[in-house]
Amino acid sequence: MTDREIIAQMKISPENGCKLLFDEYHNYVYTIVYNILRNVGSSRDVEECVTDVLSDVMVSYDTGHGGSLKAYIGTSARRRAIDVYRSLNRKAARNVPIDDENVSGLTSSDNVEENVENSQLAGMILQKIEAMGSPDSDILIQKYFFDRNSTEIARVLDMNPITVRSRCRRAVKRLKEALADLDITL
Amino acid sequence: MNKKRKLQDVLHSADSSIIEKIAEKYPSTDEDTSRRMYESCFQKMMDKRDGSDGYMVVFTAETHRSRTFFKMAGLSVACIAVIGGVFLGLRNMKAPRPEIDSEPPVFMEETTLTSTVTDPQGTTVTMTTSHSREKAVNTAIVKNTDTSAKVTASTVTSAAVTSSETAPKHTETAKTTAETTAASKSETSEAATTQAVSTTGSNENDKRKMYAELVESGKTEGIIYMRAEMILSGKYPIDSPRLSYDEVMRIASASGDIDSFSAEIEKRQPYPDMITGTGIDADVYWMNDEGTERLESNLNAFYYYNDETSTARKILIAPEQRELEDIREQEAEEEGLFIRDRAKLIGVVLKNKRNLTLSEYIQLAAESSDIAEFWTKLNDIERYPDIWESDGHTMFIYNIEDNENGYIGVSPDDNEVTYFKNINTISSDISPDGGSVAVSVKINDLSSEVLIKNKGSIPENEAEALVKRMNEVFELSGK
Repeated sequence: MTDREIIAQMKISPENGCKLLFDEYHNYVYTIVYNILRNVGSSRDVEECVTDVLSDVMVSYDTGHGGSLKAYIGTSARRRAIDVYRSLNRKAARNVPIDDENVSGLTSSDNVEENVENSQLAGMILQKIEAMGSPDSDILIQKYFFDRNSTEIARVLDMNPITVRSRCRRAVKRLKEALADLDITL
Repeated sequence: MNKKRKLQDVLHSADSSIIEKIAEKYPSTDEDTSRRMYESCFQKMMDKRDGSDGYMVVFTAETHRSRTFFKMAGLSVACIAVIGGVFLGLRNMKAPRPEIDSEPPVFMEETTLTSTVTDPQGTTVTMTTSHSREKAVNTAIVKNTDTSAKVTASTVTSAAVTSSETAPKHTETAKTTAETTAASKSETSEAATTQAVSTTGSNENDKRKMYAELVESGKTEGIIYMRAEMILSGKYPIDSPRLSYDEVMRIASASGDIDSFSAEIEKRQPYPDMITGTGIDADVYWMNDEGTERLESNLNAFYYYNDETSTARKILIAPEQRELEDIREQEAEEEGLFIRDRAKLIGVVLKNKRNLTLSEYIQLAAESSDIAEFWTKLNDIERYPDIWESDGHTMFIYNIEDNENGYIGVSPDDNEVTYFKNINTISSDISPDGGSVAVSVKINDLSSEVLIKNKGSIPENEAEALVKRMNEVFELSGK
């Protein structure tokens, strides 16, 4: 499904447009939002934020604009997640100054180098995980990116929890070996 | 030295291109959540369309501002109320007016105390002192509305009562007694001083008496009260310090092996309080005078017990502490407790004890009429599973000696025994011939499984007994 098709549906039928937009982008929005809110919000907060973003896009997106829908959604998701992050932090009586791009831990210029390095590392790790093939790579991403336990992973991947544990055990062992030279601990 | 980074931290600090890749390739929610989110999203879209004609940014900002306003207003009201309260409180704060208790005073009978005093010349003088607690009771019945006044009153009562009851044991009370009796003696000051000194020493005397009784009882119980004996024989000072938990842990962290730990403990406290056991001695070091907190040696290990907090744990020396850290790390990775490794760490399972081989497990299953029998036999051989998983779905995992990647899973919830097979193993290898247990081979795209199911159930009390054993191991090895 292309952006053009989705936008066309959004114009003709908001219901259909909403469905198509959701199916195409909810994963994308969820991943962005989760990465920002993972330390401060519950899964409900994440879900709430995702639905806010997508419903806002449905209502506010200028269908005649012609720009990239994905970029628009990505920016909206980040901004909304940052708002929620601030709001949740305020609730916890803390006012943490954050910029749009550096919510996930960048607090001073000292961290820039480390962040760049982390980003490169993340790319290498992702390659290694992908090389392990499905479903091991799926399980590992669920475990280490979405911080899920075996039961939750089983639900997301529609697998038997026992099988997930079994696969996970082996996958972790293999990943450990693969990451040995990168100074990464699991 | 490069600092090791955690995988999660690296993934979470990835830039947007990596996040995008993850979003593209990996699902983020299960179906139910997706459906729920879609319904909520659709509803929100309809509400926004109906309500604000698309100007959600303005609407959101307004909501936010009004919330902030109400928060600030609420905060201001609360501040005013608190300041007002403090002001009124200060204004009305006067010395608490005494309020006479309507309850009749309880008059206590006179108490006669006898104390033995030794003067500097060594002459023993026995003094009899009469105390009345009437004064104390009278003080106590004057109540104040102010809390601090109440506390003071009750303190006075308690102190007065204590002085009557424990006069012979406490120096302060002894002084009171001395003051009371001083008038009847010609050498007032000398007698008072002598009594105070003597009463201070009576604590030591009490201890010596207690130690003597201990040593005596030890003779019938077969226990050597070493510290008490050494103190009574004058070879060890009575006020020698005892080991503390922190001190023991410091020594453990600095010890490379159990012998050096033991030597260091002996250096700090040469005589254990008790030596028990026949043949193999166990040294017991009390860490308080009552022995409710203690360090016990047993074979080549030391254990810490605290009866008041119901704590029991093995003292892990430096290499064992590192081993425990590794176990904990693995436990965090695999969401289960590594019971067998912990049991080996605390010495209840021999370090070199091997697991059953695959054929042994299969034979065990084949020779069992139901899962209860299998369970009983397995527990006779393996007192502890390798891993205890209780994350939603309880499972006891037993490793297989000759198959590093495979394992046996016993699920007490489902009364099922499963063989999780190495993905590269050929399924026909594990198919047993005959046997009375229903054994089936299930092959899917992930692994091959031998299942024992629908054949009785694991006896509840036996499963509970295992859980109890595992909890003990978990606690002893250190949570």
